[in-house]
Amino acid sequence: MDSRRDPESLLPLPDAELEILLALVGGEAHGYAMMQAVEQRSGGRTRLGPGTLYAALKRLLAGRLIEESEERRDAERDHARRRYYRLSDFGSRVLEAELDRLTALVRHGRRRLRLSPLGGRS
Amino acid sequence: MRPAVPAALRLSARAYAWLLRAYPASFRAEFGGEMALVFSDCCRAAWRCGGPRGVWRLLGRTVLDMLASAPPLWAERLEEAMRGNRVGRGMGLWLADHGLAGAGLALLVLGATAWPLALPLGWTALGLAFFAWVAEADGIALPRPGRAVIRTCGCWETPLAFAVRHGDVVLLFTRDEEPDRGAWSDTYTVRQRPDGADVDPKWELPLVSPSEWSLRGRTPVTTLCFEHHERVSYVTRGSLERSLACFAV
Repeated sequence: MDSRRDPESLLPLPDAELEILLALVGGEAHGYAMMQAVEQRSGGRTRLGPGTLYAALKRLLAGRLIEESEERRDAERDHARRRYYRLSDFGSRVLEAELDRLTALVRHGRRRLRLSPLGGRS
Repeated sequence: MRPAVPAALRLSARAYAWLLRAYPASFRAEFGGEMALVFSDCCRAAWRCGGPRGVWRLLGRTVLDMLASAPPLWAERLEEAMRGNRVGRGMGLWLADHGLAGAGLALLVLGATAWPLALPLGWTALGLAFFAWVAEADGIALPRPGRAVIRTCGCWETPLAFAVRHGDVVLLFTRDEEPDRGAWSDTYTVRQRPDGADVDPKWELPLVSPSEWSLRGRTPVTTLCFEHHERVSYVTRGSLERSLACFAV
């Protein structure tokens, strides 16, 4: 059913959802690991609070962009309440479409500002 | 100092458990336990890095996060209730569109007329206004429930052409040029996109003249309410439903 859904229909993705999808590219993760990944990637400039994180996870689960993983990486050490999430195939397609959109936007902006593609003025 | 560590963490965990009541019950039931766990992890990290000051800063950030994330979830809850006919459809649509602002205004009027209650009511009204403002802020919770994303090439006050998804169908709204008046028409012509029609993938607007598309009706421009944010344009779902109801799409 998801193969027929158009990833473009969900664009543009809100920032929190984009960050979560990017954090899940490396594999499944639980909420706290996602928060850390986002903070690390942005050099501390973006911090997702628990409310923003789980509200976004709820929407991503409802849209089937991510799915809950049944397995626990470390079942003995992990708290029973801790759930792991992973990117779905449809979520990967949506992420790819969003990155294409952003790339086109950046390319357009740089061209308008007469900047070289790699940074600095041409 | 050591015994203070667990006490501070325990207290902040308790405070967060109390703060979680700001979220709808169904959301709390699904994610509340996990959120409390994540907050405890954050608390421990904040304590390691900044001691009590770090935990205070984290609490402040968490309250702001709660103020930003709870209102859209409540609006979603309202919309679910509306779909289940627990709230009258017309009333529900109106509430989804104007509920928070209306409640804030009502409290201001009540506060002004009943002076002993003015201060608490004033603060509550201010809180509601902040909730409404935050829910509108770009990037936090878009698309917001009660708003339908429209795809349009430019951010016009009233777009000349835009496409909007309504259930399974994509509808194209266009204003026609009226050379006699030297202006654009005051009504939108609404057409339904046929399956397999060639459209611009980004804006969902037709690549060739859409005259072949099936005509669904016309609606005055003034019946639709638009909102424009930096990256996205919206039409309020209430106004869209009302205008579509006129020609039963």
